[in-house]
Amino acid sequence: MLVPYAGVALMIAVAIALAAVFLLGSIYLGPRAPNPVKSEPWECGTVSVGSVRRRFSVRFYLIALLFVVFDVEIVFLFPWAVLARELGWAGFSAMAVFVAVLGLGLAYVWKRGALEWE
Amino acid sequence: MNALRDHILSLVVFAPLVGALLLLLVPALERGAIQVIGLFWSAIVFALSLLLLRWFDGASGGMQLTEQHAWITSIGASYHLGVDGISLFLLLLTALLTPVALLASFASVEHRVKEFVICLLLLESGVLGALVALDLLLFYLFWELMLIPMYFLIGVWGYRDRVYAALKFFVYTMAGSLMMLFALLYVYATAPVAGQRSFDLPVLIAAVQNAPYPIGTELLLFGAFALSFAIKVPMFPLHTWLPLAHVQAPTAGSVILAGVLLKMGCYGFLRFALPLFPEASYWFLPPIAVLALVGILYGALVAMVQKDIKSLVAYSSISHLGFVMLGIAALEVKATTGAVYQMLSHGVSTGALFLLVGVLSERRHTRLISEYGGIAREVPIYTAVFVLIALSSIGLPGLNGFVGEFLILIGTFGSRVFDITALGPGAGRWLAVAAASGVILAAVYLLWMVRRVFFGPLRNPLNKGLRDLTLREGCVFAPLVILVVLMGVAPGYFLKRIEPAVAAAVSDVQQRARLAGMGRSLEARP
Amino acid sequence: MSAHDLAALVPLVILTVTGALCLLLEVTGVPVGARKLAPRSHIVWCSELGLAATALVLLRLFARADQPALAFAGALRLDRFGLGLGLVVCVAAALAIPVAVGFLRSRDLDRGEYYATVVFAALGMIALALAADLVFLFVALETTSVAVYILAGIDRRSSRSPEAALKYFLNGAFASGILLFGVALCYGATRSTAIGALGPALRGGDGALLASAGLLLVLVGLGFKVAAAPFHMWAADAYDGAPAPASAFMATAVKAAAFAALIRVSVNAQIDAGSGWISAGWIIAVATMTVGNLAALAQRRVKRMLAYSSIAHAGYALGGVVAAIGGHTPALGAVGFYLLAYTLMTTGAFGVAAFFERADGAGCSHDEWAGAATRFPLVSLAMAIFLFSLAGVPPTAGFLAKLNLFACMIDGGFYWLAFVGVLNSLLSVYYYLRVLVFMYMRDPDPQLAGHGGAFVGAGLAIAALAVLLVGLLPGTMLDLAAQLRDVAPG
Repeated sequence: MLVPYAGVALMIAVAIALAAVFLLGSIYLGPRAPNPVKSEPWECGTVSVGSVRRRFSVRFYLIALLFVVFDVEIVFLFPWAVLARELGWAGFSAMAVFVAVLGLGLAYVWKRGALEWE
Repeated sequence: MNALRDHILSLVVFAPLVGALLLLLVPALERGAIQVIGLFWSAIVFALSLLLLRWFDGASGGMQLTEQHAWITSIGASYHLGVDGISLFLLLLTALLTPVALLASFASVEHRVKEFVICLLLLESGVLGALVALDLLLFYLFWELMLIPMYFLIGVWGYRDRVYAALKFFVYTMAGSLMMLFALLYVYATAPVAGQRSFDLPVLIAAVQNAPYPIGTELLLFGAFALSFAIKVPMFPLHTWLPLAHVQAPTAGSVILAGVLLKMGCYGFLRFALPLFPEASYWFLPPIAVLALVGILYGALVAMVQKDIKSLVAYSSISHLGFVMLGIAALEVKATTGAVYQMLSHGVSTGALFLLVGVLSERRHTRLISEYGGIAREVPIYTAVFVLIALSSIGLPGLNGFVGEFLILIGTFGSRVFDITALGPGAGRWLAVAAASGVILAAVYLLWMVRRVFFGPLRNPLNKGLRDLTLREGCVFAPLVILVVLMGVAPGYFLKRIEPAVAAAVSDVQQRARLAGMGRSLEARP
Repeated sequence: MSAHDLAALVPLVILTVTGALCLLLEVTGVPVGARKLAPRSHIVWCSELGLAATALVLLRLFARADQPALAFAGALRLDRFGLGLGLVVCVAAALAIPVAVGFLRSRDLDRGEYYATVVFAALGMIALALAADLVFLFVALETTSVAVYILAGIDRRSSRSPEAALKYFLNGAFASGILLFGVALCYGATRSTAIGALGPALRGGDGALLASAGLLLVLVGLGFKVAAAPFHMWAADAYDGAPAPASAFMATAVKAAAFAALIRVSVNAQIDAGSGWISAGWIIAVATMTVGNLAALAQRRVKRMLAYSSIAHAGYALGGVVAAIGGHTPALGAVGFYLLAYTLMTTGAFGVAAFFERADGAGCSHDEWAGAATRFPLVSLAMAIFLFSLAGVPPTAGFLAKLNLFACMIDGGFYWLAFVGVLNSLLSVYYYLRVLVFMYMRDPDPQLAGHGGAFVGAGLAIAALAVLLVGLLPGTMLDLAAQLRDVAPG
């Protein structure tokens, strides 16, 4: 009963072994010449400027969220558009409800003032 | 009149509850008005309960004035009430003690009077309901309903250590109750009832009669019920909550606690534990009798060394309830009738003693014996009442305490229940003799206390000019004093109504135990 | 779209519309940027009406569901079990909304979004109770969870609420991951996501091991949601840190819905009465009630005590579930009834906590409630009723529910489970009464204040009366609950 799983077990074993080889290899074989610039968390060759603890305006997140919502809407709209005739009125009404709900959401967000930048 | 008669038990049980609800609805009136309403209402309940006497057929040992209605049909619980000789007078006693306790606390309860009266009325409903319920679920409901108001009575209106006492009281009692609940559910779920499951007591008794449990199971079940009831009584060694609760409770709480609540334990044995598990009863009765005896002597000895009058009375309760339990354990018509009678007379006498102590502590705010001495000259009427009640509690012939104790002792003396056990033949005799010494000890501790409090020279100047009983307090004690004398000189009136029910219960248990192969020696009676 | 599809859609659509309406009323009623809040009574009424309409539809479906039916190609199952627990969810939401109003107003949170989130959460829960497909179950669970995370963190200016939300979210996400992995394994074993396919797969064949692993992970994931030990760690922090009205909803409705899913999955798995699953089940049940009770004993905050008590109650209910899986079907009805009683009393108790709660979780400790009975006699009376019910003292719903549950366990042969349950109830008496000791037997704390109002009063009063009524005259409810047994076909 366990035989079919042998492959899975083998794969897990190989994955672990491979990861271990890479990690240990880099620890033992890699050359090491530490200096202060290298050990910074953000290391790109130049000295970093300012604090990392800066806050972004919450509006960026809002806009990003709204973008995702309406982007996903497109994902649903395209397939429907391709098959609009085959799906007929049932498909249309389903899509209309979907868009209406999103429109409602937009109206809410708008009225709430989330779209105003200042 | 017929409609009234058919529903008289419901009416009596629920009248206090209705009163409590009405009080809940009325706005916070002034203290006096609420007290008068409460007193008036509970007096009406007492008057209603007197109707029971009129309609009760003393010659019959069965359930009377029964009511049965559908309640929770889907789980087989019905609203089934009934009264017999065992519960009749306990019912009346409860209905009497509530107005008495209310009247007695007119002066001593100063804050949250409305809640106080509501608690007392709820408590009354709970006790009355538990006394007449013939459905196990309904009984359990009322049984727990007694707990809640008592918890508040002790915890809110009690003395210094009231919170601890209240919690201990609740947790102890609840522990027993839950064991009982488990056993009760076990019986409910496994009793071979034809058709639908039932919580109905007669149905369940009939079912276990037809197909008894294996003795091992029955012993466990009886043990669970007995634990619950023994905590309530309380029997030695489960008594530790009682002195604490009594000492910390307000006077009214102590009166109801001693007067009725404790009896519920004894009542539970008679009504539920014995009939449901007759065979196991035979195994358990001898140890119960021994523990009862220990309780009698232990309670008396500890009472003797108390410094506080109230805790002395509390320990005397343990001793007196030991008598009751001994009478029940003897399972003999005389002894058990005596036990029921002793429940009543203990309720009256000890209730009165607590009231008397309450009067004293209201005046002087102390209950230490050493604070008093020689106050008989200052308060002659009070002293007379106190001495009378103390004598009745000791068991002086002619007063109420004597009848019950005497019946219990002679009944136990002749009882054959213990013959087949490890206690050996004739165990009833030495049990009775040893128990009789409890009566003597009672005389010692009570009379000694009376002497130290009331007689001798008046040493403490604070006791000079102590006020005697007022008219209101006189009204509190009048019915109790009358009962003490009445129950002493005319016990026949009560016994005549108690005995048939007790005889029916006792012979039922004996017979079924005999069927189960126990209690053979009963037949070998000379 | 079949008639069953439509029937299943109606309650969900009503709730969607209600939630959307709450949001719209919020933005249309008050001008943008208005700082001063106008009371949102109309939104409260709107959400209540929506919930009432949903409940009516569910009742109607309940009455007609003598033959269970599948809807949406097996995604939902319209049976009395799911509909009944959906009704419990409606009750929880309908009670949690009014008791929240006073607190929300005092914290400047009385906005349409709160009510809409509750309604959307209820939507997810009802879907969860009806879910007959593992993927749909997951979607419903996430709909519920996301809404509930928001509720936990709704008081964002408080120091505790965001912390509670984050803890809840991280644990919940972890649980969801486990559950989803379990769903994947089940799919691997049965080539189907239908819950009903689990039973045959477990009975033998190639996929039995895989299916067991999948079932185990799904049950663990749901175990997190009902806060069963050892997956209960988050519950105390989440319920204590979240605003009390949100806890009232989280501790009851989420639990009812998650129990519905848990029961549906485990009953459909058709586990052998003698198998290790049963032993594991009752060990978890015992552990849950014991851990909850022991931890509750030590608490000094009422809210936290209630959180642990909710864990303990989950343990009792799990005991009933074990009896049901062990072959005693009436236990399902007992669990359903228990969840109803639990919902009434716990919503009420948290509602009283919401009455007293102030900023940053202040006003919720035993000490602060000292002498509450003299200042707030009616609220204290209600709390006394809820606490006695939680402790299982008659004549309350909590007593009857426990009685019914323990009777079922005994009936099913689980004597020890019932006995441990009884012992645990005894343990619980102490800490429930301790609250009453503070409320009734201590000198009043002059600092104590409450936010009353018509909604709060009505909510608490209805909950308290319902606790008493269900305790005294449970006939109809028990009859209804007895029909909650059709959770699996055949």
